[in-house]
Amino acid sequence: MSDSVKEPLFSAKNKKLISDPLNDTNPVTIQVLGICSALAVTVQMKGAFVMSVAVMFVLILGNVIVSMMRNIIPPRIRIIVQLVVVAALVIIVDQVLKAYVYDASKTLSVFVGLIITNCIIMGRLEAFALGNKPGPSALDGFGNAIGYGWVLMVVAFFKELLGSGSLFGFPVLGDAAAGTGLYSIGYENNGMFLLPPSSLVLVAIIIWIQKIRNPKLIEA
Amino acid sequence: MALNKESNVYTIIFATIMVVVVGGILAYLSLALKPAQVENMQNEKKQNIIQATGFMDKDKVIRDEAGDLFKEMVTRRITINFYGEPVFDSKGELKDSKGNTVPGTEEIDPKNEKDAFNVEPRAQFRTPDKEKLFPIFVCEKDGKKVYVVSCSGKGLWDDVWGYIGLDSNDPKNITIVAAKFDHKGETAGLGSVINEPKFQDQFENKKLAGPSGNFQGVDVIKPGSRPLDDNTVDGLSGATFTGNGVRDMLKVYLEVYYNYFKKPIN
Repeated sequence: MSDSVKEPLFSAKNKKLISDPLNDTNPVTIQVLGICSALAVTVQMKGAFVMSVAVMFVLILGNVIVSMMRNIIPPRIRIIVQLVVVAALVIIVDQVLKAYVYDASKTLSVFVGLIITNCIIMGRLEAFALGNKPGPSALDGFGNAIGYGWVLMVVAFFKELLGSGSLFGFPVLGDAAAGTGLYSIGYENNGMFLLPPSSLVLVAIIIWIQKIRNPKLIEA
Repeated sequence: MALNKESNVYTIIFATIMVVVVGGILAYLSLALKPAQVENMQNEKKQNIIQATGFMDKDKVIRDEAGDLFKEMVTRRITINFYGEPVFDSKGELKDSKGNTVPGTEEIDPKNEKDAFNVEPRAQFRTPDKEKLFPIFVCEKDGKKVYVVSCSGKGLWDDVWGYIGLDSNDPKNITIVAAKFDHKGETAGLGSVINEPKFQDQFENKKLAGPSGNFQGVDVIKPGSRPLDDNTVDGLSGATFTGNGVRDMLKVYLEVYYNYFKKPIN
């Protein structure tokens, strides 16, 4: 029986689990999940980065745990079971950040708790982990977290650069208050990029570019 | 025997076990991480207090070293009430409401909620003004003396708070030497700027008394609406409510402190 043949973890099929979410099935730009946090935590690259790492941790572990329990979860309460798993993981992340990476936990404040409501996580648990083995589920979680992370980082890059004139907190366009660098010729930071709506514009531009480069994404 | 995963009994047993296991893990984790979390918060408070003294560059005060700096620089802790009466003094004896003498304690007693270090200004922002406690930290370095006071109020989304260093060598001319503000959830990039130098550094050398010699405090005004003087700082464009929160908080707290420092401190 072909089912009993052990499939290598990095088979071509499993590699697609990682590569697809980066482009063809990107959770943010194609499936339009997790938009809420893409709007909220992208003002600074540092926050976006820590958020991506936290989501990756929760998504991979959540996928693996739910996948391991997939045969014993009572179908009628499976959503609640998934919620409990995700919520517990998020609380662990929150508490560990508070104890060991205090500054990052201050930057993210309430958004760590809001990972629970990140639709990508529940979406992957329900769509993938419930029906697959732990190995592929971990890869699926990793791929989707990276797919989420790169969009977040690209959005944060432009928002921080255009809104605050800095990257990862370091001023790159000169000192706005002292009027050095670009600011000496009358350049000013664009306040709109500090506000959540600008992320919508940026995400839309990413989707646009993605669809130009990848015609099979265009719906008839 | 195959399990019937659809049965009520199975579902209830599964849910019960799951809740107990997850609850146990989280309770253990919370207990295990608590000391590290409390230490972080206390060190952050010490860091903010040292930053508000103006003795050192704010960036040079590192949280992990704040404990030692606090021990070295903070020589006395006093807590006063709304009417300027001391309710706690780390050096000195006070009478409590029953007339018993309460000696001050040099070490911070975590159980004494009136100890200036344990007064959590953030917890008080909903307390009526007259019941608030007002902590004062006497900081000394190289013969200079700065009184660091704390305050808290309401920003746009949540509470805002701050530590302010006061130079009161001349009681008629109390001057702010440095200020450190922070917030819980102000809009990132707009209101959140109150904890950045751009906003905080404006407070240096502002006066508590107005030109008439009476208390005036520091007002946060709309940027560019009028020229700045000794009692005004520029607010932040796009964060009017956060600025108003800081203004209202300073109004309440600085007046109490002003009245206290006006009289000579023994």
